[in-house]
Amino acid sequence: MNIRILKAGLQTTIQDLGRQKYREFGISASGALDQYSHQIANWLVGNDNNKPTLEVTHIGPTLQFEQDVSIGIAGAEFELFVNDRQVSMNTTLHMQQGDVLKFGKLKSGARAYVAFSGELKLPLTMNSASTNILANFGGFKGRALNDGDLINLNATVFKETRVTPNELLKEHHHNLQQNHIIVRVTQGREFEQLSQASRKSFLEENFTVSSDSNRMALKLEEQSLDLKDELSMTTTPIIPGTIQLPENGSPIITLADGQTTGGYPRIAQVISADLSLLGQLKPKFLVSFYEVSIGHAIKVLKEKEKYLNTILHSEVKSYTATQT
Amino acid sequence: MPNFSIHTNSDNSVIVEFSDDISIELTRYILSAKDIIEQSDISGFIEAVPAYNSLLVIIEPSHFSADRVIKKLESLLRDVEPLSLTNSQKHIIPVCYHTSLAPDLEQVAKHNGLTVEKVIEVHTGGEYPVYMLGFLPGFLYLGGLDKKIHCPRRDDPRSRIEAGSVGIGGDQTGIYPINSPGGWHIIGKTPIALLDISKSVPAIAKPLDTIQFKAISLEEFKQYEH
Repeated sequence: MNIRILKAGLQTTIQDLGRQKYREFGISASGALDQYSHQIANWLVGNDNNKPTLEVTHIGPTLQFEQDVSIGIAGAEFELFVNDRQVSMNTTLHMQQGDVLKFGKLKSGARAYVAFSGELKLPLTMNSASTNILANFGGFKGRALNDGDLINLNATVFKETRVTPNELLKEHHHNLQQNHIIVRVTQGREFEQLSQASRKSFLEENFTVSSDSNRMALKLEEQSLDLKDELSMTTTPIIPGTIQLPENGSPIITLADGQTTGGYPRIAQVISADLSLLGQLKPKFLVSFYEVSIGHAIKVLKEKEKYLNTILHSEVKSYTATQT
Repeated sequence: MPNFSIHTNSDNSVIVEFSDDISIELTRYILSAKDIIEQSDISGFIEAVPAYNSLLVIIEPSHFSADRVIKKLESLLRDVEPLSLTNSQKHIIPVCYHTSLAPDLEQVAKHNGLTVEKVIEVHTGGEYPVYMLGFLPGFLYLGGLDKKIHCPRRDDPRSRIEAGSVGIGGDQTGIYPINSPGGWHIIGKTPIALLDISKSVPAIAKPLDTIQFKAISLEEFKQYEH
């Protein structure tokens, strides 16, 4: 059966957890920017966490299903309608043949994820279904969805109706509401090269997300940072979460589609546990940086993963509502 | 093994930094170190990414302990021999320098007080070693550009440069593997693909290979397209 894309939305792409081991060829990981919400969406329909989802950006799509299928939606808070009747995110939704799912107004965050029970029939590129829009490969024809696209799905119906536990939402969404996200960072290799005043302002000021941001990088508007001395940099490998400082003094945060190498001073690095939050930043949102140690970053990540796994994979039944 | 130091780079990576100047000799050591790391048993190892004078080692964050990884790498990298060049290949890349595909060729000639023909002669006369890949999928960082045709980047970068475009930016020459924005002077175009996503090695060349450019006519260029 097909999922019919009646309206594609602003930038709707197929993403999974990304492709590894190709950075040496200049090929970044891609994958869901908010992998936390991507995993929750998959859990809502009983999928493995690496199954491809639709990543919905700012303005959501309208989809029609040619056959019965269960879907799960998590991440940024959107108004959501099935055949014009309002429904909830973060619960298993059982679609019937011909149903139309429509995304309405975005209320908080930036990106939501739609998971489907069954198999999306998409070829894997370098072991991943993720779309690399820049290089035009992976996902659905290497691009964001267009109006009228048909995505082939071997649909199944998930027998349970799951609801995302509140603790998981709180953990991820507590600082999405105010359009201001606090992101934890460790020092980058060139953090010490920032001027004394800039080190302080980097960790104390709020930065505004620029409209020039995309899946490659979040650009920040303020041009408030400078270096102690001029620094001659040689191109080095960078990874998602690397914060670089170009000559104009506005930090750039590398994201999943970002370049594999960079030539600007690396002033900080977003901790792995907070990478998913970066996917929920929209232009004009505020972001501020809080410094932690590497040890703390790892501890936080392990706790977060353990928490997610315990809740999502053990006592699944206790979170299963009665099927309607 | 040249002098190196290992630093924590993030909560899932460490970086090996080399103090020597960039050279093919250093690249041979870095690639050899990469092979050794890939064949080792570092727990949670994902990938090693080589660059001009550094090597990033990425680890599954839930397995990551900076101290342990650094200690392990220090012992692994104690005695490294430079990678042999026996597997290095020479790639001849056809480039059409016709005006219609080379909007900045004249500018590069003017900047260096040369004729367009001379720029082409110098560009096709060089042998360019691949130091590393990065920036864009399949982009080769090449060395060896003759000083006679260096040319600073354009003041107004183009918002779209087509895949296959051959450019000069400062003291570097290179080929845009995919459509992308860019600030280099475009002096020609190759009809061949630099990226083949169906292959396990998706780039046409690897570090320590060499690239040579061969001039082709517009007619020959068009034949490739069919």
